[in-house]
Amino acid sequence: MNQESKQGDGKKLYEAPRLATISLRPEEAVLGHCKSPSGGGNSTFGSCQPVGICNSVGS
Amino acid sequence: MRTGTEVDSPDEFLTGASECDSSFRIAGVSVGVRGGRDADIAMVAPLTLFRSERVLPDIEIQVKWVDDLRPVGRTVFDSGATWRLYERGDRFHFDFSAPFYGEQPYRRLLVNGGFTKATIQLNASCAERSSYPGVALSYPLDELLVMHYLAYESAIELHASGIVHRDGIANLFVGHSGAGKSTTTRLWTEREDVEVLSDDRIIVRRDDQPFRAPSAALGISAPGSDAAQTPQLRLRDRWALPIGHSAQDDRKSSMRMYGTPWHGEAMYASPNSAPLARIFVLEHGHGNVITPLSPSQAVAELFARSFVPFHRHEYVDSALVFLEELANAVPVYRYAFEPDQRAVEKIRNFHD
Repeated sequence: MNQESKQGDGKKLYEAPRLATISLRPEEAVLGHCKSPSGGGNSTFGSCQPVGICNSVGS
Repeated sequence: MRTGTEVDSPDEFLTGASECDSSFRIAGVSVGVRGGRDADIAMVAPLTLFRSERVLPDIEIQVKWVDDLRPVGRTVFDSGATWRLYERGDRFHFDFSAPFYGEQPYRRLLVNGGFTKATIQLNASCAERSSYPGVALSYPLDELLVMHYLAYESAIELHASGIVHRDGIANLFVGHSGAGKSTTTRLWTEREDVEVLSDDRIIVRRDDQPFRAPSAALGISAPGSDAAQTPQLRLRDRWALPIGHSAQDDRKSSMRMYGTPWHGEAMYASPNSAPLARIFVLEHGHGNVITPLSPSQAVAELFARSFVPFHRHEYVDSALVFLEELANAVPVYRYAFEPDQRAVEKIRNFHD
């Protein structure tokens, strides 16, 4: 059976499963870092501002 | 004053001194805050933009001071740095710690299972040994609270910049840190008079949400307001619609994106919203190449850039269901771009 006849039957062509790699950033996803005014919105994981609390500027 | 361990029964929610109160609304979620003094319910600058009239809140918060905060409950999740989640019965508490304060948390959020009633306990022993005023409502507590509440709704918080053109076309640029959200925001604002709902965090909700009376957008840039006294915040709120706008005329999309207080480097935060037209997953590349993503690809890419409570599979399941709905309702593209004005031009001339 050729491709056209398959499509004419209304059946979807078989598509082999593909492995897709997705980039995850756990430290960003769980809000496990501080936001700082100079850190691109998200400062380095675990490095809070000098007083040791999350900067409120980024709310 | 008591210790944090004593204030842990359900009856303790919303009791105690509450001479002061305030309200804010983020993405249609109204939050009422009560405390014994003005300082207890003070909001950080970005959050003041989201102040709202007093309504029956979706989330009620009571702020209290306690002598100290001792460990209690079963550890459910450790963020790795700024907060830990504990479970006790059908309730949660989040402890917020910092090396500066030593062993004890400087703040604790006690919340019921539905994330509708909460108590914020501020640790007096931490406040005594520092000049930190003990702001109850600040990052990441406010974001965690809203994020968990939305886990029960058809909604998702995305790591994204939301930009609304004056013709009403609203594009969402999703990306990890460093992917180009701030750069994209800068390129668009340099070129055109657009409204930026946020340059770092956008909440997307189904557009059939019942909203209460619009209020959050009122007084956003009123002279003399806290927001107006914060020059580094950039407010552009001319074309996006205030929360509460009827969605009946927004036929292009069944999804709506909302600004949040949790801005990024470019410091854009708006309480407004707009019907969502397209989503672009940002990445650096050569040329400006737009590639359509299948719904399954889109769900995977968006999930990787979303803020979901990962400690309960029900929350994750709910997020995935909503992302599938989102990917079927709104076209999602990968956008490999170069950081110059041609990247904006490409989008402006793009048709689905």
